[in-house]
Amino acid sequence: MPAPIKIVVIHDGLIPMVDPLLVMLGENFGKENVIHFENSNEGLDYVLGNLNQKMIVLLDRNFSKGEKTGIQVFEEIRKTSSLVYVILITADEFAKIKNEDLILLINHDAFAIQSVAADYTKIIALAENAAHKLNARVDSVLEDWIVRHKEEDRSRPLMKAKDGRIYSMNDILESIRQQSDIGKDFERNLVNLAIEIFSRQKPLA
Amino acid sequence: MGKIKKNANSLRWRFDVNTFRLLGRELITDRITAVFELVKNCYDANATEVVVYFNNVAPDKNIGPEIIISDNGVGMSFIDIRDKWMVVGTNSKRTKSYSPGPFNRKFVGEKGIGRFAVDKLGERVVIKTKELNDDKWLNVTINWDEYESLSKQQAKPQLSLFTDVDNLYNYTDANPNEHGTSLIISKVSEPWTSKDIERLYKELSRLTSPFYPLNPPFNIFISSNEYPEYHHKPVKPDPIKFYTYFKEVGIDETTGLQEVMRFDRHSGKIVTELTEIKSFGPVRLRIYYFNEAAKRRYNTLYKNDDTRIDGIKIYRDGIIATPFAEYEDDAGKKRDILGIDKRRWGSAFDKVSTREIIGVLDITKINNPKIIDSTNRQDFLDNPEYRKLKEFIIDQVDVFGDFKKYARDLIRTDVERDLLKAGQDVKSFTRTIEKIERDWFQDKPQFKQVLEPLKLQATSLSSVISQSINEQKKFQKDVIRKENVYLSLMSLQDYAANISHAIRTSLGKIKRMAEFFKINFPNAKFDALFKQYALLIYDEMNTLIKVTDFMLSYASSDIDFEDFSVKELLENLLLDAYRQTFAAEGIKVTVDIKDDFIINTNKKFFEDIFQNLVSNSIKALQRTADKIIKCSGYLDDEHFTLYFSDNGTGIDDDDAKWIFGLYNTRTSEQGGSGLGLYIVEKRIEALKGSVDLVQSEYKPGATFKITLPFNKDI
Repeated sequence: MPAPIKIVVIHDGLIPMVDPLLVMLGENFGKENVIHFENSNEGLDYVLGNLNQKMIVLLDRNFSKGEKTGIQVFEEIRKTSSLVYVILITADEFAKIKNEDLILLINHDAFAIQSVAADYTKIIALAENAAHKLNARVDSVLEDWIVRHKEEDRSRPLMKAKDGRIYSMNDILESIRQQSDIGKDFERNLVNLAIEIFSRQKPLA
Repeated sequence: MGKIKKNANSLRWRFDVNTFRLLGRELITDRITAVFELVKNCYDANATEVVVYFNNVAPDKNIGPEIIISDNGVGMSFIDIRDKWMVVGTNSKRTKSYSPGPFNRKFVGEKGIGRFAVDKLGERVVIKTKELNDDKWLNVTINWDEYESLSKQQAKPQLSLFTDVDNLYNYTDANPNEHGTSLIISKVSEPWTSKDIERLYKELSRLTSPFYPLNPPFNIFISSNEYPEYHHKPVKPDPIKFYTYFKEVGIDETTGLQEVMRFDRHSGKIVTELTEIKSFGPVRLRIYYFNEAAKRRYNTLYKNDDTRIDGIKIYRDGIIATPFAEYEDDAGKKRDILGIDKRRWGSAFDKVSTREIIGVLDITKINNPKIIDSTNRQDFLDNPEYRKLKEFIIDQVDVFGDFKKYARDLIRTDVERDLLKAGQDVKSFTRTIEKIERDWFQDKPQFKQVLEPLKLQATSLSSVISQSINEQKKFQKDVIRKENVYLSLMSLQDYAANISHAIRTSLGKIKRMAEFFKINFPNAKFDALFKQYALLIYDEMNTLIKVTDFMLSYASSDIDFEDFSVKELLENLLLDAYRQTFAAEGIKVTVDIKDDFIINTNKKFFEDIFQNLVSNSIKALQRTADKIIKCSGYLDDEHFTLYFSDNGTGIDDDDAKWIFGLYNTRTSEQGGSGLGLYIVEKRIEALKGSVDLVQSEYKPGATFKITLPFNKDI
């Protein structure tokens, strides 16, 4: 059973607590895993403060009252992490989104953009798709594997890199999350190893 | 610097093919800009004279077309050519801003792009160049077509960035006193018609200021062996003729203060006033204004080419600073760097557009150091000084707007006066005839018969004149009415952008709840939610109805005037209609109107005033914690006075007048279009009242004082 994913909804156009989108997200991902912020600054603080969790952010584009815009929140998140999936939910026509904002969203891997007037089932389908991808990602699989170990095992030396550095489970996870060279190397090797193991299997008769 | 192999007579460049393509083929988009760039390079090379030769370039000629750009500048050494001319990214102009002494010219050439302009013109070039005291001319041959084929070979998956290119060179004898550079371009890519050269002439004529004597000079000539009108023709700015009004301001010699233009309503003239030197430094500005007739006359002179009257250009030390070479056939596509045409409903609001003025603003590198070229040299660096300079220019252009309005009103009042006088004359004529009839021909029916048709004619003439006066009045009313509708539509546009977002949000909520019913009903688990959603849908629908009602009020064709109570209207508007908006924004609203005041005007237009003030305040309050909007009012002996205040970011004293200008906004990031306060002022002026920014009631904050006279005659 993979570790739960937090669904962080930063949107001021939803009815707090009872909006059908929130209710149904709760049904799908567990009520306790859906967190709604109407204030974009508070939402951003939460995301930045909980980067150790798997997270999907449903983000509004326009916030009034002098808060950060959705695009700014997205930029801030991306400054620190590229592993949080962000789905933009906007009430504006897509044609109204500025080109440079769209370029920024694409270049920094926004997961999807959806209209707030779309069926909520579509929005939930996007979140589920993101969750599936999140769970299938190497760092997530690895995390799921690591959390099954005791804390003292997690920090114990596990492997030695070419440069002589010693890595524990936690170090490996960290280096993958930060997408450092060693982390990327490890990720690639792990996938290669998995494929090799598959290929060694005898075909089923 | 990369190592360069020097063969007996070939010069090898390591050449970045991609940069070549990018700069040569994409940045220089048209031939006229290409020549313009090359001529600017001659200026940077301290030339006092440059000749652009067009030989055999006419469309029907196939033999040896050639473009030669020849200057008497400092020339280039072998090292210059080798290390600078072709090597992208080692542009000497990047580290230095001025040409070598004694000229010390501010560089005007683009960053190393000029040389690539050659490629736009033809496929082969010979550079003939020599520095003073060298005894030989250096001739280097560059074949662009060869580069092109090399670059094509390289468009393979494994991209190699650099290509080695050999270029032939040799030396020829020279007089040691000669110096300069000639670019002899052959295999010319496209034919040049006389019309093309005329366009080039027009662009080049703008390179130097028509007013600022360049010392040392920079004379440009165009020469063609085919078009007789271009036989070593000196390029000179067009003489400015037929303008309706001209005004020039500079620095007052006795006081050292900056002169500015102001329109004087009494004399109907633009006068000069003195003010402190502005933050951007002292400037000289000349503006020629053309009314419709003058424009037609001036354009006829140039075969109806309507791009000659083209707004304000800025020259630094006599050389164009902005807009830089900007060849554009269609005047509508020209960039509007100074923002003059941003106020594009020009004629409707007595604004003057760039198509009605020719202006020259002179700055100098010494006196205006804060006006700095931006990196792309297509504008200036955006800093407070440049912003003030733009505002200054627009303010001065607006002076001509006042003049234009005055001239229009003058014609109108002349017509009205003449009509009234004609009416009086006819009446007095009728009276005289009646008197003559009474006093002299009482008993002479034969004369009465003669007079009778005269009397009838006079009566009918009188009625025709009365009719004309009425028509004239109706027409004037119609003009005002149309202007009002136009203003109302403009404010509606602003409003529609906000409201459409709100409606979509609201519809989104309703739709999600309906969808929830569709998918889940019946399900005992969600019973409580079903009930809650029913109530929420009902509330949302009510909100939507209110919003659409408000929108519909604009759709009504009713723009009649009516009597209504200002107190009642303000209370309804601020306490009821806007209640939801204020609640959403967290704004506390106080309305304190002491006395009532009945006004006769169009209700919608009156509401516009407050709608715009409110939207202004909402933007100003975005960063305020405890948001307040307060509207108070009272009657005194002659006026009804209203104060509209908020405790937002406030407005600079310097901007007190500026903010009322069309498209003047400090909140463009928050979607401010600069329409709101303009509409507020115009609406209040239409009521013969006034609006001013006064000492703010809150600190920080802003307070507008609106004064409306008792006389309700509009």
